[in-house]
Amino acid sequence: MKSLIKKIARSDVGINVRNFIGFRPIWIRRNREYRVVSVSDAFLWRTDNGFKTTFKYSDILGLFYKIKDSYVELVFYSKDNNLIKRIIINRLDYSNELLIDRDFLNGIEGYGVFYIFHRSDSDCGDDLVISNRCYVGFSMEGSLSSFVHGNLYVRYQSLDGKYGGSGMIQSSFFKNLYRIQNSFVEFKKSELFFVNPTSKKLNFSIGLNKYSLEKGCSILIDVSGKEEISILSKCLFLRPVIFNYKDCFFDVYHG
Amino acid sequence: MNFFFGINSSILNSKLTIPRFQNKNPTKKDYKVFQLGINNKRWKINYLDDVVLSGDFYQINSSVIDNGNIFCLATKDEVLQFAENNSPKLMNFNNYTDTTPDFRANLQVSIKGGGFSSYQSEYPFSMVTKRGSILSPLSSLCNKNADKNILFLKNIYELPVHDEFGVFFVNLKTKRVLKREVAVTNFMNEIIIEKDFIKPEVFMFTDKYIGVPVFCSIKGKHISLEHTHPPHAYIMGVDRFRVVSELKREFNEIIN
Repeated sequence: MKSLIKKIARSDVGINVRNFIGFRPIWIRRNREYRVVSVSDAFLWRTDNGFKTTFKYSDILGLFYKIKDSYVELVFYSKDNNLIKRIIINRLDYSNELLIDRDFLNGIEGYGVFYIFHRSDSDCGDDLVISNRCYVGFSMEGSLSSFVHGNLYVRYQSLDGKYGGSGMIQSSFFKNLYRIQNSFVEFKKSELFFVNPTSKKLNFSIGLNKYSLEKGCSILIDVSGKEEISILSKCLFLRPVIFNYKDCFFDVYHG
Repeated sequence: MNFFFGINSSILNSKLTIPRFQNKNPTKKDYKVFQLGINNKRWKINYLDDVVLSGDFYQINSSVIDNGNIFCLATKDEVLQFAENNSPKLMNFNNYTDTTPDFRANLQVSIKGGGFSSYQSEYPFSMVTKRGSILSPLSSLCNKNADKNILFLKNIYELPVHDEFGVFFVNLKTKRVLKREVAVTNFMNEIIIEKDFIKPEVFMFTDKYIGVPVFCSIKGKHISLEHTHPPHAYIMGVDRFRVVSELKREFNEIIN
């Protein structure tokens, strides 16, 4: 009987019910039929206000699976989820670096997200699921980059790029509270960066301010001077990247 | 549960902020900050009565942070139970900081008159009971253009011992050990990383104990601090521990 309940609770219908009512929710899901995939965060890029972004990523297929012909595809979107560019990078080292500045993004000054998908044309077996956690560094006016690691699972694609999915983070019927566990009072300015990691329109609020993001869209919100910040939404995992500014310096981390 | 830690370094100031609330629930005021350290080969736990409480945040500054000490959130009853048990090992006091999303403290390091950078500074109890090895690429978070790159390697082990273990810098392409440093358990180890080691094929590997590697880069008055993930965080398939074990075996063969 116990194992039957467990089986039901772990089925697609069971997970839907759990997420709907908020009982032991499963916050991340992907199509389990796809068994050879590369999962990506929605990484923030910034070229606004003198920012440059440095992206550091590993050749996971080469390092862990000794696959020699691996390469990566990176796909860049504006904050409104409009495709900016798509690039393929061959000849990978174990660790790699890409500078994302205004020139790289066709002169665009702004912010948005990008995804990284690992690729291989070799036979990679029938059970290989990888996720590059990566590191994204932000520098302003030539300063040393401040790095933050990947934090979410948002999109996935097969290693041959033929199929994939998005909106991996799940939602519930009821609203969820997320209290950021740090204070912002000591900083001159603080910004929160959110991307909608779900497959639906996302509504959320911070205090009395309400925000709405279409699928794949992102937003930077000024929350300067607040002691504590709480975020209310139906998303089961909505954690921002945080920028804090003091004097001539800034820091970035995930909240 | 999670332990939290700071950095005591001649180069940096550090401040550890621990919230007394979970990220989805109201504040529980009976959770206080305690400090643990090794004294006469026993774990000793102290209530930090002089810690600053600002709003719902405990703030622990440089003067309290020692590289051999760790911090946790607990109630007085839970700590009393630990003291009465007279256990030679660290105990899992509670599940207050076992949350989804992960519980976050904030360890902020700064340079006098300069920049600041932070990292969440949690050390899960599940790591405290384990020995093994950690593997981390150097060039992911080190910066060749920085004046200085430092590896802060924190280990917390359940037994109150200061055992030595090796930290190896290994070139995976040439299969050579470039350098061996010595680290100590239950300590925040500070290791300067030579610029020549900052290459895609160079990795840091430990031989007997695990830990959290936190990398710090400093250039002028600017600073960046972030931790690397353990290798199994990159693999979501069912074979992840086998794949990581095979890679670590490769490194073990190189260092031996």
